[in-house]
Amino acid sequence: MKPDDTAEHNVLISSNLSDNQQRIAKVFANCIDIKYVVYRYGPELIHTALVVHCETLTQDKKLNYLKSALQDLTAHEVGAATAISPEEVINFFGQHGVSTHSADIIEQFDQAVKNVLNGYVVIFLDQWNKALSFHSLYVESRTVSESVNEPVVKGPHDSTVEDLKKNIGLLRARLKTSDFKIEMFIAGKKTNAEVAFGYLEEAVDPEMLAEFKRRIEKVKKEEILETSFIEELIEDSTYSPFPQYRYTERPDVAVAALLDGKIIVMVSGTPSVMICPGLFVEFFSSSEDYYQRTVFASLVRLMRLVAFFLALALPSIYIALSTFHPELIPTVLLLAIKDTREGIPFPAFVEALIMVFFFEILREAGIRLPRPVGSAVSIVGALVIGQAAIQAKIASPIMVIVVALTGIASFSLPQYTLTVALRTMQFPLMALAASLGGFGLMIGFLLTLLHLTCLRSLGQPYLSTLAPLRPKQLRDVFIRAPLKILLRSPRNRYLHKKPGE
Amino acid sequence: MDKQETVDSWQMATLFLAFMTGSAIVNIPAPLTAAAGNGAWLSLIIANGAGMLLLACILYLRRRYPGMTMIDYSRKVLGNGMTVLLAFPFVLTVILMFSYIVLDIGGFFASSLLIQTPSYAVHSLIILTAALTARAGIEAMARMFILLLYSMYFFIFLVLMLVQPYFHPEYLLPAFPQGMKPVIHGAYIAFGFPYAELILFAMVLPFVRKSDDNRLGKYMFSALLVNGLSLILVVICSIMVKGPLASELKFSVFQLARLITVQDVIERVESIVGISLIVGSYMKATITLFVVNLALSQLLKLQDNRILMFPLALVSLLLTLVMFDYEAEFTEKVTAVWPLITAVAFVFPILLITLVTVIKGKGGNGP
Repeated sequence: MKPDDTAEHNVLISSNLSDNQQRIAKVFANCIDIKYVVYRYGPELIHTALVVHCETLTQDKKLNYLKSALQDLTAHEVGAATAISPEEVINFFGQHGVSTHSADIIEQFDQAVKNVLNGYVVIFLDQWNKALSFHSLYVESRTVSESVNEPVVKGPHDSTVEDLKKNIGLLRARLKTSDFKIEMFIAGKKTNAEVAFGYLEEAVDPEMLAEFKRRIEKVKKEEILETSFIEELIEDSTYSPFPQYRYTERPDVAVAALLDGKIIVMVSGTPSVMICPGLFVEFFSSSEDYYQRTVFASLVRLMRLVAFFLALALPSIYIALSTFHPELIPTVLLLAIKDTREGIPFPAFVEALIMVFFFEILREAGIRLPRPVGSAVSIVGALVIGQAAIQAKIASPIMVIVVALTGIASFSLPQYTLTVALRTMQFPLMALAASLGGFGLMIGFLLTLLHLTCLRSLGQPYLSTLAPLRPKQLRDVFIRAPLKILLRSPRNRYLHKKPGE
Repeated sequence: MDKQETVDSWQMATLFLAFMTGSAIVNIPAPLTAAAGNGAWLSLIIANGAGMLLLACILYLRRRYPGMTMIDYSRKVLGNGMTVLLAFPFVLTVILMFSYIVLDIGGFFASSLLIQTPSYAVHSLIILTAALTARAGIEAMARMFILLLYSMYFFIFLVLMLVQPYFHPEYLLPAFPQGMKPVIHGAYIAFGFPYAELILFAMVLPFVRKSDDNRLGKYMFSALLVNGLSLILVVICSIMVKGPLASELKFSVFQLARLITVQDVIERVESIVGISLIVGSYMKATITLFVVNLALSQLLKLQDNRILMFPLALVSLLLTLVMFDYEAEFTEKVTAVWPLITAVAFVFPILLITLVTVIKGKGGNGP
């Protein structure tokens, strides 16, 4: 902290207006968007009032702020400015407080500075060692619109936006109970980002909440630009490829998580809502599972599970089978594969590596490219990864199928963060399969499983309900049991916990 | 001892079942039928009964000395000098056992799936994985092994179901072609491997949560019973399929899987089955390594009880590479010598401790 900061700290507002004016002008030197307006009032206009606000943040209204402040003197008729004496004003605000809901009286000078930066209008009056401040923040933000990253067919379509207040409103509108607690703190010295975390009392595990609060302490000093900053600051293992927290931009998902006893974290200026702790099995569920009919939802769950294994291991299984265990492939198919591989100079491993790498480049290019050029990527990509690669004898058709299927499978998982984990895991598995076949794959899977078992999210075992195995809670893992059964437990499991259980 | 980590009694029973069934289900049918012929199932029942007695022993000792491992209560009952004297062969034998299991896995791969791969590659990877798992602690092991054990059982039952067309029940008769003598011999083999090895759990049992104590005995005996039944089932199935040949082919379930053909699409699935069976051996190896590390740490009174894990793993790796020149040597060691070694190194100390405890207990309760 600079000595300047300490000097400003805890300084009270002076009752001399020109002192205040100088001091505030010094703090906001070279800030062109801070506006000062001086009004005169009182008998013969001898008194002055200074209105300070940040014009880029406040509502652009042609408003006499002093007048609106004085409107607060509801007991009085606000007459001509000449009729009001400063004593009257001070008396009124000193004794009655303020009646406008967004106004309050501040005494600290640094509080006044902070309020100006937060979009308040601050009014200093001469001969008064306090200041009035009015909330009038208005920043352009997106309106609530359809979710871009998590679209659904059935269910609510609204998504969170960059405005924290709006987001909390969206949640509160769905969770009308005093048990839904939201706490907020300001993080960082420069960004002063508002970080809010919410939980449903009685649903959340108190120990987990305490642990969360202990970890969130160290976030307060950092500059937070996105919710994922918090994830990295509070997560258990930073180097694990697996995501330990879930993200959503759908209020209904956030509310479902709250009911499930999770803690949600939101940051002003970003629409992503973090749900913690995120458990492995939850990454397979989508909000739509609960809106669809149970049989279909369960089948989709199972399909996702298959997709998970395909996305993780299909190239490596193909490598292991074709190089080490060709007897496992039915004879006719094996002959067909051998036939198409005729003339290809690379072993299956190198072939797979090239194609998967191509695919990764395409995927990255597709995300980063400006939208108008985006379609060019898909055209070139289809050519490179498809027909041309086969004709140039770089890859066999079966390998193209394998890589394409892996890619499609990874897209079918509802959580993007899990897909990223799988993309990372693919390559070591491929190397193991190429060097030791099925045995290498076994070692790879065992080590992955070991890692997953040891992993914790906010102190909770990551593989929870699978390991440690809780058979009664498996009704929401591989299948989605009918809501009649499901809503009793495990969702709301703390709510419905009997005492002594 | 450091008691931060605990498991519940169901998890302990699962660990126990994984340990007892792990490598036995692949390895036991061949030597057993070689010794006992068609009466192998009876040998298993006898050996299983003896195993029950040993389990009763270690459960009794656990009740008498709550929260203490075998080394701890041996110190209390027999004194430090005697404990070192008894624990020395115990630790050596467990290291040997770990190396045997790894050798077995290596042998399996060398003879079936990875014929050209040098054995040190397979051994070192298996040992590394086992050491990492054991280092992760008993909680992680318990969680992980439940999933692995269920998948292993799933594959075993799948094989037994799909191989059904090859069953010839008439191979089971005559039940005892050469009288009871071979059956006793079979029981001797089965007692040495795997039943005498359950003494290792005298080191692991204290990890069970105190609050979960009362169901432990029930679960442990059930696990042993399930183990006995599944071994008997596999032995009977392999006799029914292969008849007199059952004793000739190692890795019975694997050999059974070779026969499976479904519509020309699912055939030669033995690699998949083999791998899931090897996972069983890996579980057993991990628990063994965990025990030897724990026993040695407690014997040497080390503060950090994980520091020995990797040195022990390295020693075992070297052992697996130099111990045997031929596979036949290994087979002979396991079937003929191993029961004797386990009897001396595992069973004798526990019986001694139990005896002393009972006598002391009687003396204490007397007038």
